[in-house]
Parts: sequence; C-alpha cells; structure tokens
Amino acid sequence: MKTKIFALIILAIIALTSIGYSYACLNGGVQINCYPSCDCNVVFIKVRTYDNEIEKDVGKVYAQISCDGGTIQVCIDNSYPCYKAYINFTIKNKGSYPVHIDEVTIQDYDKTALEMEMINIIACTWISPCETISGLLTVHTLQEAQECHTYTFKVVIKFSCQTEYPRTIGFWKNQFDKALCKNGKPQIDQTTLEQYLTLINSQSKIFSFTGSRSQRFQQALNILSPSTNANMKDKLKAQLLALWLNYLAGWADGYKLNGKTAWQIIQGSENALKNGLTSQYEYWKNLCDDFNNLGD
Amino acid sequence: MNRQVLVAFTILLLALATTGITYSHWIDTARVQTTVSMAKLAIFIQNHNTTQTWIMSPDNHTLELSGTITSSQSIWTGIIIKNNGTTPATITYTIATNDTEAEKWFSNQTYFYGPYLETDDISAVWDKAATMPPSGGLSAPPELPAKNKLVAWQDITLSGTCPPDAFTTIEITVTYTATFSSWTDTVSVIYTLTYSP
Repeated sequence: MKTKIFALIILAIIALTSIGYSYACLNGGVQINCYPSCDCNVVFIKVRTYDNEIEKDVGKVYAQISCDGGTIQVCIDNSYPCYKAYINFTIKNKGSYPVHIDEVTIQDYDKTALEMEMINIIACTWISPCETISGLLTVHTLQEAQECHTYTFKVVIKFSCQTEYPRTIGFWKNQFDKALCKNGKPQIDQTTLEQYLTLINSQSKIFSFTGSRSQRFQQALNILSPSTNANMKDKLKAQLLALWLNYLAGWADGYKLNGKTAWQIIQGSENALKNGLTSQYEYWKNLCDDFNNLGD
Repeated sequence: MNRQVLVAFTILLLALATTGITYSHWIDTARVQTTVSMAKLAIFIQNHNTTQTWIMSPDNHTLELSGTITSSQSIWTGIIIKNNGTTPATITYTIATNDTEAEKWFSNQTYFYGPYLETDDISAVWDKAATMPPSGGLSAPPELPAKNKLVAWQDITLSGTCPPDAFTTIEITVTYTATFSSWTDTVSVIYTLTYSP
C-alpha cells in the first residue's frame, strides 16, 4: 500500500516537472539566470527628513523604514500653517529583474489642509537590478489646517516586475529559420516577426528589408548569421539587429548595460555605422552582444 | 491513512499552483504612511491680582473688573498669561474704551515680566513685589514660549484735572493677543469704572 502511494507521488512529481519543462521549451527553452537572487524585490533603503524652519524649532518630522523595507512611517508633529516637511528617501531594486514603477498615488488626504508634492518618483520609470532611485516628498501644511487635528495620508508606489529578458542572437536566428519553413515551431509567430521588421524599416537608419515576407525573413536571417570570417561591420550589424528585435519585443525594457539602455546602444551603434566610425565598431558590437546576453 | 495522504497531496498541489500564480503575477507596492499632528496655540489668564471686584469667564479668557475711580487714582492690575499651547506665541496688546471723549483723562502704563517656566519663582514680581510696578519690567511683551507664562502689570490712572461731568461710567478693554503663523488667541481684561468725583 505504502509503495503504491509513494509511486503515485513520484509519478505526480514527474508529471508536474514534465509539464513545466514542456511549457518552458515552448517559450524558448529552460534558462537559469538567477543572479544574485532570482526574484523581484524593491525596498526602501534610506530615509532622511528635514523642514523649512530656520529660526524657531516648532514642528518636527521623523521617518522610519519598516523591518521589511516596504513602508516608511512618517510622523509630522506640531505642524502649523506654512510648515513644510521634506522626506527624502531612496528605493533600491534588490531583485534580479528590472522593476517598473506603474503608478504613484497619494491616497486619502484633506486637500484643504495639506499640499503634497512627490519629486522624482514618477510612473513609467524603470529601476534596473541593484539600481537605486531617490524621491522627495514635500508635505506643506496650509492655512486651513485645523489646530489640534490629526491628518493622515498614504503614498502608494506600485511596481511590476519585468520577468522577460533579452534573447541571444541564436534565439532570433532560430525564429527566422523556423519561420522560413524549416523544422520546428517558432516561439514568435511570423506575423509578429514581420511587424518587427516593418518597424525596424521605419525607425532604423541602417536596416532596410524589402520584397516578399520570405525574402525579408531571409534578409534578416542573413544579417543575423555572419560568416566566421566576417568583418567587424557585419558582426556589429548582426548583434544590432538582434538588439532591435529584443527592443521591439519589449524584452529589453528596464535593462541597462554600463548605464546605457537598449535604445541608447541602438542609437550609438547606428550612428557609428552610418558615419563609418570603424574604430568604434567593436565597442558597439560588444555592447550589443553583452546586452543581448543579459539573460544568460 | 489513504485519506490523509490524499489530503496532504492535494494541499501540496494547491500550494505549488498558488506559488506559480503568485510569482507570475508579481506586483509589489511601497508605501509612505504619514501622520500629521497639528499644533495648538492657546493662552489663558492663569492668575490675577486686583483690588477691584472681578469675574473670570469659565474659559479663563476674560477678566471683568468693576469699581469706582476718583480723580488722580491709579488702579494696578496684574495678570499672569500662560501659554498652554504647543507653539511659541508673540504677544501684543491694545487698549480701547467705549467713550472716546472721556478716555483722554486716562493714562496707562503696562509692564511685562518673563517669560517664566511653571516651576520658576515669580513671587518677586507678583504677590511679593516690593514696589509697584516691580523692578525690571519690560515695556513690550517678550515672546512667550510654549508652556511658559508672562506677568503683566497695568496701571490705569485718572487725571487729577478730570472734570466731575467728564463721564459717569467708562468701559476700558485691554486685549492681549497671541500670534503664531496665521493663528491667534486672545485674552482680555475689561474694566467697568464708575467715576466718583
């Protein structure tokens, strides 16, 4: 009886693992890319407060970060009209994925008594792994604020995590290869690949894909597959095209390499190619290459 | 036994599924929770020293004095203004009467002492003053820090040349105003004096 149960559990584990592995294969294969920890984790790491008082010290402002780093508790005591408290804080992305600030909202407060301003923490900002970002919250007490009253409010910063990552040049070669009716099913369908090439046509100063769909796919595949003895220009173009595709797929969002975003590297590479800055080709090729391999 | 294993197995499956769903939908929030506690500006008349008949309002904000006055008479009134708030207060004072014709026969002097903490000994400028006014007085009120108090002595004198028919009764209101930022609080001493030529 016990043996049967044990066998059942083992079978279930194998089945679950197989489902997971199959799904992973369907989406580009299994990759282990956890550095330093494979998670999404944003915390407050620093907070400093001050106020606008010069001569008299009447109002007080204190702030403390909670043990889990998720909350700053601010206490403004003995406030009065015209008192301004400043809360300067730093957020750090301690996870291994880029984090996106989706929304910054100031909830539940009396607008006749308080005026709030949040500086530098704005929606649609990316925070790369290990990157810090500082914000300044100003709380201004207005004339209408009542004596002996207590006002409370909450600033909520909503994040979401980028769990995608840039794909290598090999991945993209594979997509075009399969799209050209070679063996296997591509992870990205042909229509999407075609859209990417159309967008590159309209935005790039270097690439131009013409002809039928198959012809355009073949042109892309050729660029992505420079020969082993290809010159630096062709190697740069290969990595640059892969970076373009990562950029358009949204898989480069939030990532930075040497402080540069994918878009900045694309611009730099295209500028070097367009102006024939041959001495810079290798530099930009390496940047494109490293960026495309950030997921490895 | 079978049933227990089945339950444990189901829980394990649910836990795995939940973990997967949670991870794939990771959204986090950071919060800045703020509490703003407002200050209070409040003064009151903590004590008074007068020879006149007096009535103090229940909130200790208005001291009403009544009595008679003769020509050349001086009336000394002392009050202790306490800052019971949480902010410092700038004190100013004004004097007004209800008889602008008769007020020209009056003169006044106000002397301020302090600020003092509640624990300070103020007897030398209050109930054991050697002279009137006590020595060391200021002509303008000093700033009054929170929880401190201020002694004010005021002399109201009717001129010796005041004609017998100058007035019958006059009301003199002395208002002390505490100010901080845009907030104010006041205490008043109201004299109702009947002329006895």
